[in-house]
Amino acid sequence: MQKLLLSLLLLLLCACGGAPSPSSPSPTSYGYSNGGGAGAAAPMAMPASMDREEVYAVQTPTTHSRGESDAKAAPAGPPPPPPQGTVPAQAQAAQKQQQQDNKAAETPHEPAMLIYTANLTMAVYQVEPALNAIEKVAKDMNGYLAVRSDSAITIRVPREKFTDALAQVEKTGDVVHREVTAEDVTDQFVDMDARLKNAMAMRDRLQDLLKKANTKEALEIEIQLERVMGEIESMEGKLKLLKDKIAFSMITVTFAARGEAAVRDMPLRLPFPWLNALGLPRLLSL
Amino acid sequence: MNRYWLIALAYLAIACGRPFDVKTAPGFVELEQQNTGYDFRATTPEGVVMSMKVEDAPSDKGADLDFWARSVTLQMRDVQGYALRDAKDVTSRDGTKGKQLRFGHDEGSKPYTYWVTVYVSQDRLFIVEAGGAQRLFDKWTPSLEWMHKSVRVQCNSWVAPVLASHTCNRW
Repeated sequence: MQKLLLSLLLLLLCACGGAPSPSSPSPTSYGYSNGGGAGAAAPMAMPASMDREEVYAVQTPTTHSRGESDAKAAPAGPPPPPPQGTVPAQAQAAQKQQQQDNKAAETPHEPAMLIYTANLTMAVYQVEPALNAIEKVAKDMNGYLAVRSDSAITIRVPREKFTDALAQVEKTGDVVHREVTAEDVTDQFVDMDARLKNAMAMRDRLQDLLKKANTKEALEIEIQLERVMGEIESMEGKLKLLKDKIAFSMITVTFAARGEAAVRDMPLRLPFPWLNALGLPRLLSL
Repeated sequence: MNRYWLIALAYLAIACGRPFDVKTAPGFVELEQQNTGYDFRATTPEGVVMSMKVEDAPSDKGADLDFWARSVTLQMRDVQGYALRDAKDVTSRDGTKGKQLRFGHDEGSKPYTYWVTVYVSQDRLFIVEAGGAQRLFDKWTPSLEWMHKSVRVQCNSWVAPVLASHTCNRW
């Protein structure tokens, strides 16, 4: 009996020895936990690569939270600041600069200057009512009609309402083809703005010079001034246009068959002649 | 000997018929074959037309009903600019499953309705078309639906079960 109890105790000891400590990362925390029961079947359900990808996505926050808990376990509070007197002035200045840089980095970036454009091709069905409906969408969204013909329409809507307007427009008919682009014109805008400021500064300098100049010099300065003024006007116009394009997104809808040319490269040209014989004109020609 | 001739004639009669059956609704008139490629075509006085034709579609090539329905949709929408307004699962009178694609299209700024229904049976593809000016089409829709429901693409007969499965003779 005693032998039996002893062997039982030994077994228990052996079993306890392998238990993971609470701090050690359990398999669960890495997402491979599907290790038990139902999880064992999981790898069979999807390719291993997919499984792993999903796991990694889950793993990131887990690791992060573990890092937080580690910090909590460490001695409380931030490290003590270095004594004031020991830091040289240069180092202090550098630190200040660093803090300023950090602040600048923390401030949110200005939203990129994007020009949104959508081109939709819709099936040729009830075109007139659809054109009216699209025009109404523009008005409802505080936008405006840019161009309208028998089979196409272009509207401009405020940038912040672009997605809503596009969704509304898509409801007016059967969208056969959809193309949405967002063109980043930040560089172009910044460059133009800088050039405009330089040109304006040049204009001011020339105007100052003109006040002090004699007749002969004044003639030359006026020629230069005229040139600079022309440049300023042109750049202001371009900048205004760019701002307008950014502020108002463009949605163009064309009611047309995409046609043979558009679909030639697509893998839908099937070698069944009867497909080409489908359609109303043939059916209705009695 | 006469008996053999009679049996042979009966088989031929069955085999020569159209491989489908469709009833013409009152108000429609069946048109004579005009070398238009249709095996059946009927019209109303206003020009609402329903037609039917058959194409070879060997089942061993693997093209099923979904394949043909998708092909028709792409052809009509992308190439011809028809709007797909609805797609319905339908069943012929003999129980064959089919797909009905309901399109809309403007012809000279006037809205038209156009239905294409496809069935796959007997290694063949059965294409049923119906179309007309939308207002008139709507008026004739009950008759068109009745005609669609009358379509048989597989016929059984106690006279010649083997041949009859490949034809729906009309006499």
